[in-house]
Amino acid sequence: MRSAGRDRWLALVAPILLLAVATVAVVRFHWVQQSSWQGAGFGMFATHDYVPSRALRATASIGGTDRAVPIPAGLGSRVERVLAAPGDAAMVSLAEDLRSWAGADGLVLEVVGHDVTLDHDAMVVTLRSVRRVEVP
Amino acid sequence: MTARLLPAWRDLIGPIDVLIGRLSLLLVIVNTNYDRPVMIAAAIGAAVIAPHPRLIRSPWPWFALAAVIGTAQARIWWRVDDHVVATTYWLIGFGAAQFAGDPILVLRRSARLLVGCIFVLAFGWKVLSSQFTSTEFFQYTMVRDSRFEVVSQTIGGMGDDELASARTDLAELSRSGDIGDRVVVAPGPRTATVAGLLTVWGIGIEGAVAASFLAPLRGRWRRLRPTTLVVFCLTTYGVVPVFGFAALLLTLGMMQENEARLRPIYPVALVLVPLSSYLLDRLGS
Repeated sequence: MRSAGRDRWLALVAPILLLAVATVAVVRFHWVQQSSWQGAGFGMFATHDYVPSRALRATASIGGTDRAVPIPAGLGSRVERVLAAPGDAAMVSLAEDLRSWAGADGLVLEVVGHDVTLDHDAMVVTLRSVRRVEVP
Repeated sequence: MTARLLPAWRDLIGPIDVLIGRLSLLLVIVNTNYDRPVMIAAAIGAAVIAPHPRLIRSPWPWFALAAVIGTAQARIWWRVDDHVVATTYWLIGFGAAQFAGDPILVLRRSARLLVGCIFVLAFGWKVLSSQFTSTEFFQYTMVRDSRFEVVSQTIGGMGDDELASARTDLAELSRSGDIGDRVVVAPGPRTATVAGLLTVWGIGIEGAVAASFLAPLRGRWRRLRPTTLVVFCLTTYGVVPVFGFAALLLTLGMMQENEARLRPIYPVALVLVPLSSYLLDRLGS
C-alpha cells in the first residue's frame, strides 16, 4: 500500500519539474519580455516575437556626438541572451560593457522587434522598441 | 536458423523498460543542442550503460547523466530548445522510477504525464496568444521562417522573388529602420487560407494530444493516444523537421503504451517523420 503511494509520487517527479520550470518561463514572459520560445515553457510556435525577429542596436555618445556602434562578434552569446529576455539585468550589464569597450561617455542599447497587423490584402510589419537601456 | 535468431533479437530488444532505457540513451545523444562536448559525454555514458540491463535499472547512471547534461543546459538556457530540456526531465523521471516498487508502471505513468503536460503548455500558449489565434503568427512565419518555404510557396502561392524581397525588407527594417517604420508584405493568393488552416489544426491537434494523454481513458479509448500523437508528429515534424522532439515524444509514447502490439507504431512513425520531411522538401524544390 505504502509502495503504491510512493510509486504515484515517483511518477510525478518529471512532470512536476517540467511544470515548475514552465511556470518560471511564464512569469519571465510577462516580467522580462522573455520570448515564449525560450526557457522551457513550451510556447514555441505561439508568437512571432522571438530571437530571430528581434535585433539589438547600440548608439554611443562620444564627445557630444551620437553614432551607431557595431556589436563585437565575440559577444554573440550575450547578445542572444539579451534578445531572448531583454528585461533582465543582462541587458544593463551588456550596455555597461559596450560603453567601456567603445570608450563612450554614454550608450543607448535597444532591442527592436516586429509588430504585425493584417490588412485585407497585405501584412504590415512595424518596427517597435522592445526595451531601451541608457547608461550611465 | 530463424529459431536461433529470434531469441537473439528478443535479447536485443529486451523488456520494455530496458528497450526504452536504451532508446532514451540515444535520445540524449540526439538532443544535445549541437553542443559537442555534451554530445561526446552523452555518447560515452550511453556506451557504458546501454549494454547492461543492471545499469539501466539503477537510478544513479540516469541521475549522473541528468546532472552533467542539465548543468550544461542551465549555463546557456537561452540557447537550449525546450525538447532538449524535456529530455533531461525524462532522464530524472527514469532514474526516479527505479526506486519504485513497480518501475515499469511508474515509467508508463511518468511518460504519459510528461507528454500530456508538454501539450497542455503548448496548447495553452497558442490559445492565449492573440498573435496565434488571429493567424498573424503563421502569416508572418510563412514569410520569415525558411522551414515554411515549401508551404508558403507550393501551397500558399508566394513566388520566389516576392518571398526573397519580403525577407530582405524585413531584415533591413530590423537593421536600420526607425521605430514606427513599416514594411508592407504582399502575401500569396492562398497565404491567409493556409495560415487559417494551420492555426485551427495546430490548436486542434495539440488540444487532442493533451486531452487524450491526461484524461483517464479506458479500453479502446486509450488508442486515441497513439493516434493523436503519431498524427501530430507526422503533420508537424514532417513540415518543420525537429527530429529530436519527434524522437522524444515517440519514445515517451512507446513507453506509456500498455498494448504491446501497438508499440511498433511509434518506431515506424519515427522513420516516417524524416521521410515525409524529405519528400516535402523534394516536392518544393
